[in-house]
Order: sequence, then structure tokens, then C-alpha cells
Amino acid sequence: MKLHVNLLSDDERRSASPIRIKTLAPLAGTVTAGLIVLWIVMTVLSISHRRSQLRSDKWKWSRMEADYIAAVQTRSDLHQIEGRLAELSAYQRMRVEWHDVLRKLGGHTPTNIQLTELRVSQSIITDAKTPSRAYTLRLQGRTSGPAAEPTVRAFLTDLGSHPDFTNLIASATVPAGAFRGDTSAGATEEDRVFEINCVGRPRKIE
Amino acid sequence: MTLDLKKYLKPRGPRQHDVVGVDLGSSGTKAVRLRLMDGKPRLTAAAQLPATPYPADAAEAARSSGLALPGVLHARYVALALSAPEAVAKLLVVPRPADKLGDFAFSGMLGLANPDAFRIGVEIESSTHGETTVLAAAIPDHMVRWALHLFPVATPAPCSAEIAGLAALNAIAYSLREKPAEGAAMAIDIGARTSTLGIFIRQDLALMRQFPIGSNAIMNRVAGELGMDEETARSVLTDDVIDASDAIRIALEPLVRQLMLGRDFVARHRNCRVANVYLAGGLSGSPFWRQHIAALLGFEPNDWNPLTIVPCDPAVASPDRTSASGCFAAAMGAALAALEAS
Repeated sequence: MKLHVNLLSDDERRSASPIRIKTLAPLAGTVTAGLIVLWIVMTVLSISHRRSQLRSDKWKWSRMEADYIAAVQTRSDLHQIEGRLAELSAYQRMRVEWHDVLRKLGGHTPTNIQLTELRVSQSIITDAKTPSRAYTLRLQGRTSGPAAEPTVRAFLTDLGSHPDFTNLIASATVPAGAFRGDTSAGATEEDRVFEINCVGRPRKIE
Repeated sequence: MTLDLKKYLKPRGPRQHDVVGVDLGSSGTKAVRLRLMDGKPRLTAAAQLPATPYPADAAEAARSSGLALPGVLHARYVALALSAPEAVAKLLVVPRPADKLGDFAFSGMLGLANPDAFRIGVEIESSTHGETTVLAAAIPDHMVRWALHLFPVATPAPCSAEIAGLAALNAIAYSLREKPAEGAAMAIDIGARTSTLGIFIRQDLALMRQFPIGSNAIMNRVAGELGMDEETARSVLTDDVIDASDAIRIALEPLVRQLMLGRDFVARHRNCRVANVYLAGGLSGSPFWRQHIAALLGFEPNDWNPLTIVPCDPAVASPDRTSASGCFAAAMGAALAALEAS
């Protein structure tokens, strides 16, 4: 027994649920379409803005390009000059002012010693962490009298420890047999010749 | 065991667990709220509200504002019972099997002069290879649209609309399903302008007819016979202070004649006598109406109250409402049908 003749059509029978697919779907579609349109508009505006920015930057660059190239060149020159300056400074640090050394040497040489020869040789030390330049000073001279040996010894001590030479000479020695009698013609029995080898302090090449 | 995927994939309509049945009658708006509790309907509220008259023209009907229901009646869904003088409901025997009814013109059998202006619905009662018995109903389209305008948004959401007379018969049929009666059962719903007769034999609808005789016409006739106004005539019908039985008998005569014809038709064609009578509608509480029916049939009409056919709170079906409870039959029937359809 069926007495219920429903006269409502399917589209008139709506759901009581507050969330309805029929209303939610178009709304979601509209929102999605709106978001897509918004995204497209934003993208177009962004591209337009970036193009404008690019034009502006290109114009600015055209104005400053020459200055920039000049600045780069100047900086390159500066680096080059700074390098040369550093090299010169290093040379200056390595340089031994021999005129000063000779003057001091003259001041410290006892009066009964006559220096007959001064030889300087140099070598580059590369086996150390920092390459350096080493000097060797070879002095030859003559003396006479009973106090010849103490005089030479005092001179040797002076060379090895006096503040005037500590910056230059690391050690000073008289090689074995280098203090002997003078056998040259016209020499007396009391005349002596000697030789002192001085090892200089190495100077770093930076 | 086979798994019918189509059954599960088929889109399902909304499930109604909370329905207010609203009978938009010309004498008043009757509403009952039913809720499914443990699979059984339960009456939680009932109220008779002022009438919501159909506007004078269709344009005004389209502008109708929403119907405000009291909070206790504000359910999630609303099942509408509509009354209109032009509404038609007939039990038809169509000489076609049920699967060949697609192009059948029911409008002709319903006697509709302007079928385009009507909504037509059918429900198949039974079918054989040669013929199909259908219950067909038609109501003016503007009437349904107006009723939908009363519930335009949110809740309650309309889930069904049917003719009030059929809805009232549905409430009586529900009682018969719950408590089957011996013999044929006659159900009479007297609306304001239309009366509906249904005769059930073992829960089958054997006869269904509508008559353009309603309580308004009966009231007018009683008022005319007794020379009093309509309001006084109504009190005469519901009270037994004044003996107006002769006037009432004359007023009820056309309707009673139709009822007797229906009873005799079923007795002849189905060889079954009417043993129970159920009265619904505004006049169901009238002692004269009950006495008249009892005198004609030889037995008393059943004490039937549409508010008590489902479990309910005692306050809802209070004794002071019992006399007028018959008018809730259509609202109850509409709500029950909506719950059963979900």
C-alpha cells in the first residue's frame, strides 16, 4: 500500500545540510577561477614591473658602465701597484745596507787590526716554509804584537754579540788554522793573519 | 553472494531523521514533528498555527515570505500536505504493465483540462502483465511553488509535497499496518473543501475517492438550516448542547451517499464488508458526525487519534487536544511518509 505520491521534483528536494555540493561546487569553481585570474593578473603585473625595472636598470647601467669599467681597470691597476709595492717592501726588508755595516765595522775594528778583505756571498734558502735569503760575510785581516790573539778574539766576540751586528750576524767563527803567522814578504815574526766567517741571519722573501 | 556495486555507487538522496509535517489547510496550519529514534518514529511536537492562506494571484504567491515555525517544530526537513479545490487524486487501473507506463497520459484519466498547469505524480500499487493499478495525484503547479516559497532557505528543507487527503489516509494506513484490523477498513478525511475516502482490505488500498464536499460546505449548510452564523454552526457541530441532528443529517447527506456508494462498491467487487471506520479531519471530533456514521454502518467508528499512532511525549497528545486531534492526520501522514521514504 503506497499512498505517498511525492509531487516535488528531484531538484526541489534540497538537503538540509549547510554544506551542499550543488552550491559549494560552483562557489569553489568561482573561487578557483578567481584565484587563477588573480594569479595571472599578478604575474602579468609582476612581469610588467620587472620589465620596467629592467629598462630602468639598463638605462642606469648605460650611464655608469664607462665609470664601472674605469673603476675595474683602476682596481686592477691598484692591485698591480700594491703587488709591486709589496714586492719593493719585501726587497727593502731583505736589503742589507752595506755602507752602514762597513761604517759600524770600521768603528768596532780594533786599532791594531787591519782588515784586508771583505767578501759577501748570498744564497736563497727554499727548503723552509718561507723562502729566505742568507748572507755569508768573510773577513780577512792582519795584526801584530803580543796581544794579537786576544785582540782578534775580542773582535770576534764583538761581531757575534754587539747590538750593531745582532740584526745582521747570527754567528761569527774563526775557522781552524785561519789564525796563523804572516808568511808574506817583509812580515815580522809577530805579524799574524786571520780570517773570520760570519753567518748572516736569513731574511724572509715575502 | 554478489556485490552490487551499482547499488552503492548510485547517488542517494538526503536521509530524513527529523521531519516536520506541515498541513497548509485553509482553516489552519497543522504541524507535527517526528524524529526517528532507534529506527522508530517518535512524535516530539505538534501545534495548530494560524492559517497560511494562498495569495490571491500567482505573482503575489511568488513573493510570499517564509513560514515561521515555533522552535519545537523546527526540524531539518519539512513534508508538505497541500489542499486545493483543483487537486485530484485517483486510484486508476491502466491497461499496461508497469514498465510501459513511461509515455502514458495520466492527465486524461485524471480529467485535467490544462495538464501543463499541474504537477502529476503516480505511485504503482500493483501490477500484472496486462494492467497496473496506480495511485495518481495532480495539484496545480503554482500551489507547490508557493508552498516551497514558505521554506526558501536553510532548514527545514522541503523533502516532499503531497495532497493532504492522501496524507491523511497514509496516517490511517500506518495505524492499520501497526494494528491490522479484521475485514475492510474505511478511512474518511473531511477537509475544509474536499473529503477523501479510502477503503483498505488487508492493507491494500481497494478504493480511493475524493469528493468536493468539505467541512466548509457542511458548515454553511448547517448554518443556513439553523439560521445562524458559521462560527456558531461550528460549535453546534462539536458540542451536543443544541440538538441539531436533523439539520446536520441534511447537510451530511451528499457526503454520506458517496460513502455508502463506496462501501457497497467494495462489498460487491471485493466481497468484503467494512468492519472498521477511521475518521480524520476537522469534523472527526464532532459527536453528530460520529453518531451519524454509527447509525448508517451499524457500529461505532474507531477511536483514532493521529497523535497517538506513534510513541510520543504525554504533553504532545494532551487530553485537551484530543477532540481536535483529527485535524493533524494529514500532517502526521506527510511526516510519516517522508520518514519512510528516506
